[in-house]
Amino acid sequence: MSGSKDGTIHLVGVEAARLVRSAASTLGDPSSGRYAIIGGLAVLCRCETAKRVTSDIDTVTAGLERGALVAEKMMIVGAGAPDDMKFDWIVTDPLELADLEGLPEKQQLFLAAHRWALESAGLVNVDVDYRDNPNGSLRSVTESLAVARAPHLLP
Amino acid sequence: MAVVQSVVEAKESLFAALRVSGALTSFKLEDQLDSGSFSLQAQGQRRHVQFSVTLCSRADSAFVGAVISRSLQTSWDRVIVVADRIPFDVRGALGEADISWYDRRGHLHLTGQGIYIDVTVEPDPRSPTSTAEGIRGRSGLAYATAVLLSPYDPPSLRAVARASELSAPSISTAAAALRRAALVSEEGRPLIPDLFWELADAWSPTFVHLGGDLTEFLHQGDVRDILGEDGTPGWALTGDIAAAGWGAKLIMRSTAAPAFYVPDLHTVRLARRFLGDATHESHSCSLAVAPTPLACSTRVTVSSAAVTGYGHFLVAPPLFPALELAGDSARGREILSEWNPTGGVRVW
Repeated sequence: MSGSKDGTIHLVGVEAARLVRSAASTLGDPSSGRYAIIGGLAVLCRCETAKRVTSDIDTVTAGLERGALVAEKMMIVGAGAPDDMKFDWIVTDPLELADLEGLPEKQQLFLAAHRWALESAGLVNVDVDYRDNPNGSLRSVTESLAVARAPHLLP
Repeated sequence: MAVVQSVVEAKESLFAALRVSGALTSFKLEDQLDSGSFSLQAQGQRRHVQFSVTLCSRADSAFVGAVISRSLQTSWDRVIVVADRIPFDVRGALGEADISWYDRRGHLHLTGQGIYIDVTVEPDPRSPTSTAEGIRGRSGLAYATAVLLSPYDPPSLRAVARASELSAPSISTAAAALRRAALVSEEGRPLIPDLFWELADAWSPTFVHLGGDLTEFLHQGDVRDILGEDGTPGWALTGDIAAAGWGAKLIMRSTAAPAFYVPDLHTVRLARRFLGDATHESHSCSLAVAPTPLACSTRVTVSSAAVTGYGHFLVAPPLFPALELAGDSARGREILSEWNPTGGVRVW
């Protein structure tokens, strides 16, 4: 269970090419740290044996104000379909422990885990065996967090 | 549509499943409503529920439509469909209509009025009848496969027999069983998607994971000697790579291991000798003897990069990778629901 030896993930086919192009245009510069891929694509980025990964792009994205969502007692989740690709996102704000006080345990876990997923994510280079060889980088959650969120994608 | 033969037998089967599930604290049979249904009084954790239980042999789309329509016109709290077989897509339609069901092959789904239970239970098939219906044996698999491969121009019985290397009388018997189950019309046209899901239930290839280096193996001699000449039965690429090649929205790594149907056990043994066994984590490919020879005789060239990126293999028609996806109740069926095969016919 790991990425490839040269640190680059090699994908195949038109659907992968569409995904790389769409991610670049919709999510923007991965080095900004403002998003991290989660879900099946993250498992595919991090694990050699991921199976049946679809081209949906699930992300955690950065909110702006520390604890603002917690104070409003809400979580922002959304979905869109730019370039005919399905995107889902969960917005996370910067957090400190004090922000979580008084919240139910499950909500604390949800908020802290998704924020940690965003902050601990790293870059993965991707290239695709398809026509003009599209390539780029994605920011993906770590291997353990990817698997924790979608364990059913491993055999 | 044949009803379940005996209300008593169906009642006992349902009661056994309810007892195992622990869903209800008590239940008892009330009135028999007609030859195909009865009412049931049950006590859940919080309240008393009155069920109308409807029986049938095989719940198809038409039957379910009638049950839904009837449920809207009656005052029953809940409706349960009890059937020998409830195909996957029909289960979904029942769930959407908030109707409970019990498939006697071993699955109980009960919802509403403070009850939610979805469990696998011991299969309890009803006593066999003299007039078998549905997919039976290799002939049944072959005939169902053949008509799904060509749903709008169904092949003759003789053509299916030839292609599947079986006798014409056995194919004829298989076709009759499918007609009795209303899965194939008198003209030989398949009921779609019902026949697909029926075939998916019966489709159980055994894939063997092999290690070594597939490319090196294929270059031991003339690669056509191993894979089979074009136009003859041979290795047929299937699985997720084939599905992606036919347009399924799957993202694959270049290191993904291809899966193949092969014509016979001899081919598996030969490959196994060269490549050795492997685990899922380290395999270079996987092979299964095709459940019907049609999987290996209908292979074609697919020019999609999703396939050619792995080598020059002939590919099984979309029906075959679709049957494998149908066997995966989570991701596989989700992928299947959104997949309209490029250049192929959707029969699911």
